[in-house]
Amino acid sequence: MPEVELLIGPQHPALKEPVNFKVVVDGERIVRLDLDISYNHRGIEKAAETRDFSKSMYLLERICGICSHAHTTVFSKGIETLMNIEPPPRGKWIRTLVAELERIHSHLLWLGVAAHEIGYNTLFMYTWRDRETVQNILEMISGNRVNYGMNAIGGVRRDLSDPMRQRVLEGLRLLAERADYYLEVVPKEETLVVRTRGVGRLATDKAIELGAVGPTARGSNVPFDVRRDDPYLAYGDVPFDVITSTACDVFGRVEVRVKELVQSVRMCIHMVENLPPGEILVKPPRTAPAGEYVSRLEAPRGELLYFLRTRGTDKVDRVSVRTPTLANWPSVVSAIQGHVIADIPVVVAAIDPCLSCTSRMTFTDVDRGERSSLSWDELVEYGIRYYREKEGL
Amino acid sequence: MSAPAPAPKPPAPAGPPLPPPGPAEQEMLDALRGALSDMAEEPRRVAVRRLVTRSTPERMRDTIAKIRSLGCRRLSAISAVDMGETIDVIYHACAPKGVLVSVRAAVPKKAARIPTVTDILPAAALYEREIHDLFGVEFVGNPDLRRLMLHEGWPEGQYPLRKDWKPATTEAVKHA
Repeated sequence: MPEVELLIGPQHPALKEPVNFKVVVDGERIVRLDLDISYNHRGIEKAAETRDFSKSMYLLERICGICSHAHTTVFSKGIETLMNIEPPPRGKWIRTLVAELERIHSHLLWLGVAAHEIGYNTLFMYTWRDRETVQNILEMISGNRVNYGMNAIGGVRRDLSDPMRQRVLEGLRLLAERADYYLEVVPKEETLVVRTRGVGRLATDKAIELGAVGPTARGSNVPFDVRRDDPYLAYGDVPFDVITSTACDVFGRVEVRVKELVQSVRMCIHMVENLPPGEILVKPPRTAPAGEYVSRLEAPRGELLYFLRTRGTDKVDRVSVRTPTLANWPSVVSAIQGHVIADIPVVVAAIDPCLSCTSRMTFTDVDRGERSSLSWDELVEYGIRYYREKEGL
Repeated sequence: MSAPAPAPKPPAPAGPPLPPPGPAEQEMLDALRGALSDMAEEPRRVAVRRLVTRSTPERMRDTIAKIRSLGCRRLSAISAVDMGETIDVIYHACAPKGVLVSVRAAVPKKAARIPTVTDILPAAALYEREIHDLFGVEFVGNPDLRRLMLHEGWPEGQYPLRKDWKPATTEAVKHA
């Protein structure tokens, strides 16, 4: 059978960001994957060079709608280090609390999306309902469901009152129950196991070599977690376990995220119960002395790295952003080889790409030059049908 | 076309001094000093778990291979920064125990070329493409330097993250 080139994407109005995949297939088998992520360069790094630190915060917060807090945290942590100031303990803890709440919301969202891609819509409905709880908590704390605007250089902008803490705790106790439920159900559910076991294999050495980060790396048994290895904010004081899985496939990535959900809820409860008293913000100097610093943290999708350079002004001379999704693309390219077309949605979704979108897919028969189109929804449908016929799911 | 002059430096605010290095940091720093003893600048510690050193474009492959053999098997990122006459390319490699080693090389703007390290650290592939795209640094030996971030219709020879590039006119971004 001749090799066929398959184009997926780039546009999909319902999803977050556009990406185009060019998949070379031989029959059902995927030979090669090439990707084009050039549809969404917004020039944010350049724009940040012309804005002062506080304005840059609002700009950088909008790099990502899901892990917005991670971007401002990594930026403020870098600028604070360059200024040689430190937020007060309570400010640090609230910052960490919002970061972990963000992880809960991101992992629940991801679990739902992954379930949806394999046609397991019950789990999708469950997780997205529970996600409302954490979104309500975030709204209560920050006033916003996304782009919380919590961080400022020198600390956080909003405090948690005692009555609010009680209500946050109520929500977290519910989430703890739900996280335990997912931990029990997800590894046993047949639909999930059949569609993820042995799919998207990524060996441990390969994951290190390709620079995989976050749950993608930990799902391949790479014990790399910036929160433990390079502790920042309150992570040195809050107990938690680094979760890894020896499965080295999509199932491993699911397992890691579900267990991290349990960990994050526990961490949040610990932080709300033991919030240190005092101020939440120190007044920072207007400018930062000349210097360079590589700031990094563990975002929900993995290590987020900012290279910052200041020159004694109130602006950055350079901010270089390396998002976890960029670091994980080579792993997708590697993990998808040898799999079937029906596995594309779940392998791509397994890294939780911040741009997992496609609108139409064009089949091109290289020999005959024929083209036909398929939407992402139809591809998902195709994948579900394929496994239904094959496995009787 | 150099970058704007920095404003007068304000006095450094009082803050905690840099704490002494932990055992993992000290060990890595000593190893780097041993392996890279012939470098113009000695490897040093600039912040907690942040070690920096400087190489040259010609010797970068050798430096990266040495650092890799010291246990930095994971490349976290490659950053580029416009320094005026040169573009500094900075490789951030993860050492054990959360230590991050950053190696930089100054690439002259007029002949912006540096050998690729993708064969030593495959994770460099996308980062080299990104810097080639946005800064116009050619990574000699990288087989795939197609555009990554910018649109395919972006004109040749326009490198938006260089300091002398201004998003002034729509003319500049018209399709070539």
